[in-house]
Amino acid sequence: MYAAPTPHRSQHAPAPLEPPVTSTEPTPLPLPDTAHQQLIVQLRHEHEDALKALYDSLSGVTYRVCLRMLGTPEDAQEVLQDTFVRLADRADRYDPSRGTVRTFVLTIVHHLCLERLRTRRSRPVREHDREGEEAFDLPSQAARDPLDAALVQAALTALPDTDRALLEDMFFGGYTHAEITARTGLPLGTVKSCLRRALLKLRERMLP
Amino acid sequence: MTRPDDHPTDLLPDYVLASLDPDQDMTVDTHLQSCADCRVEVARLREALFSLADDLPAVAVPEGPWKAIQAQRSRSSAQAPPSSAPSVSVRLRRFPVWPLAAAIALIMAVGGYTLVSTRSGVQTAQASARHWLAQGARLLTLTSKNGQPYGSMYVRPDGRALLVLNKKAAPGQVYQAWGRQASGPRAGVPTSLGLTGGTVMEVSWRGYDSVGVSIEPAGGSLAPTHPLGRTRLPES
Ligand SMILES: [Zn+2]
Repeated sequence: MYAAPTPHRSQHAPAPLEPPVTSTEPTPLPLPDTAHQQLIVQLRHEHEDALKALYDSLSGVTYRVCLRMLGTPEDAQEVLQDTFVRLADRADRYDPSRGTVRTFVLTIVHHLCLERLRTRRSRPVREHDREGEEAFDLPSQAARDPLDAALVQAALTALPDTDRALLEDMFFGGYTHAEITARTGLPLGTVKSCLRRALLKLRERMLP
Repeated sequence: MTRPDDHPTDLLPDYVLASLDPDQDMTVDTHLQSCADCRVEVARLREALFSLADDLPAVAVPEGPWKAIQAQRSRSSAQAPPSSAPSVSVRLRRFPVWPLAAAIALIMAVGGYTLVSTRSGVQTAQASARHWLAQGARLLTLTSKNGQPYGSMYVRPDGRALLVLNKKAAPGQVYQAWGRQASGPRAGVPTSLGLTGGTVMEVSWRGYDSVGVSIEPAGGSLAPTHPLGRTRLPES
């Protein structure tokens, strides 16, 4: 389950990873994560260079998530900062059997963005940690702004683009199934089916 | 996945999407505790979900956040102990309830070792060992699986142990210590306790049933790659 570490890396000068993803194409999956894992080990032993190397490698995708979820550069930059401070504090919680370092970082940023969205929507934060890790958790009360009626119709005929739109609405918009139901007027069962199809389509991109 | 009927494979996507009702959710939770195959699939589904982020349009990252992170980190490290002894600071972070005076005394002691070790690693190890024995530490020999000794461990009842290796690691390599529990959900799973490029390392053994040492590339590893051996801790 554990990936082999990269041998003979200097303790104080982590080798640079791939260039920052700020201005490149989206990084393809699956990522070779061994370099990230090595940096996490160094971070656990308080090598500050490791944090910079992780930041260079993962700040791009992290910032994109912040912008998508929060909308404003000011909020996005604050959460980007908070994400890496929290990563440094929680490096010892990373468990390679639960996923890549990249997803560990994205889990942190997703959780922090959801907290902000809830504050904006004046909702209480719901604790939903699985084994100390922020689970993929979502707000709990309905919003009222319905999606485009065409989208609703498309969902009922199970178009892949619509499945994906609903999944993004849940993931980036931070809406629960119940909220999506209220926003779209779709039955809960239909929402769940759409989300499931969209996830399985993404799963097809993964190996094996 | 030899007996697919036994695995709640169909429920796993809904589990990741939080679509399950509480009973089903608990069923999957319980199954995952004992099924590595399904844990792997859940991890893949989560990776798939988070791969939504891969398709977002590229944006340049401004410089402000990194500078702010550096400022915040240097503020917090100014309040933290000196970082010359990584294993100590790691342990301090993991066991924050440890009394401050004892923490300071230990940092001084290990800092002292570090200074002395530039003159003579052997003298340092011997002095450390005497010091620990004087404090009531119990001496255990670190041996490989075939009984070959590779070092000593001085175990103090307060939860700390001093590991003294017989020889220095090769250039570019370090010794890394690992704690393991004998039972429970994390039984046998190695947790890094610290690492050293020298021959002396202090670790906290509290909560573990055995301590092992491995040789790793500089910087350490997430799991032992070249284990030297494991030693059971005395029953307390
Ligand atoms: Zn299973």
